Amino acid sequence: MPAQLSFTENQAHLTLSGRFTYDEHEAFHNALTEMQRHEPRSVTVHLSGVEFMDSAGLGMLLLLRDRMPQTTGISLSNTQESVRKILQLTKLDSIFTLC
Amino acid sequence: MENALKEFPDPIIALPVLPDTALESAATREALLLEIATLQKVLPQISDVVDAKAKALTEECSVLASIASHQAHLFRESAERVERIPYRDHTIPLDQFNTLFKDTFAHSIQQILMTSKLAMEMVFSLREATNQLYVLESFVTEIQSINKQTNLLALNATIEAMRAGEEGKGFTIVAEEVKGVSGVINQLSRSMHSKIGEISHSIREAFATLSKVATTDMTDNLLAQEKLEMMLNGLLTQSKQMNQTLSQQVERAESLSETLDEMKMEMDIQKPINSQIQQACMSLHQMQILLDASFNSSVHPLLPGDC
Repeated sequence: MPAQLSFTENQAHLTLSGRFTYDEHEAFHNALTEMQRHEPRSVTVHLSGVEFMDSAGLGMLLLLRDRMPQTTGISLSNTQESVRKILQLTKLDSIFTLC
Repeated sequence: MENALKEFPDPIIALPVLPDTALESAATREALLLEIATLQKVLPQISDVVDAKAKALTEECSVLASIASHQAHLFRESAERVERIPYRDHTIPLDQFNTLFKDTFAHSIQQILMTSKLAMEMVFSLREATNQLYVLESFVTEIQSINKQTNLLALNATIEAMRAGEEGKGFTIVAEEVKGVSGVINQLSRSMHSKIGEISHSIREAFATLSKVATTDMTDNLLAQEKLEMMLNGLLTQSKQMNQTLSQQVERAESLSETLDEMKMEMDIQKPINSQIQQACMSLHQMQILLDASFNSSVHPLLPGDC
């Protein structure tokens, strides 16, 4: 599952799909490095295609939050039910905006 | 009990006014006297039986009241017990346990998240370090390349100096020095290359170890909270229902105990039946005397003491 990254004005769009696990760390790391370089005002992670997210995936989302400036708003969009459930259970819905 | 006592007539009864025609009959008079005598014999026996039964009933009421009270006590204890669980050397309320459990689990979840984040942070850092190492390795390769050229230049300079003869002797010395420096640089770059290789190998090993940590999925542990919370909530609901049922049983047992105590007290304060019957016997005796006086009977009257 390649992480697809695109930029529109000051926004970064990261689209993930399939299983977001440790196996995706390389693609995610590259995207993160790229986003750090561009310094967008906001980041939207599109998760409609993600059917499963493990603890490594959650760790990577937390790293995204840590490595981007606090002023950069990060939202997770179109989460599937199973993913939304684990985000709520871990209270990550209080760190990211779910939309 | 009150109704049962009312079945007995008032002891002070008005004597019936019998018609003269009926009393003129000797047979009727004899029959009446016989009935009175029979009643005077039977009534005390009935009195004894009723008193004995009343006494037994009072004792049974007392025992039942005591049992009901004890039951109420046991139910109350059980109601209190189902809302608490043993913890070390004491007990804690289930509500408190629920809060403790949720706080502990929430803390564990945060630790799992923190561990996952740190593991991924290390993975990313190692990747970044590896990338930097590749850059460093390319620098060393470039140094080696430059050094080769320098070495070649020194060699060419030596050849040219030899061609120049006596005048080129100074160049020969400089070329030799340059060759020596180039040798040292070559040695250093080889060492650096070797060290980079070692570091790269260590990073790869660390990466492999870290991958094992990072790929250990903790999702099941995270989801376990939901299952355990559901079970715990079920347990709390069940405990509350049981507590309600037991509390109702406490109320019923207490009410039963109170009712039985009241019955016992009512039976205690009732005028003893035998004294009422004794009064009835006296009334019968008076009837007997009156009958005898009216008809000058030869029947020997029974005395009140016979009752």
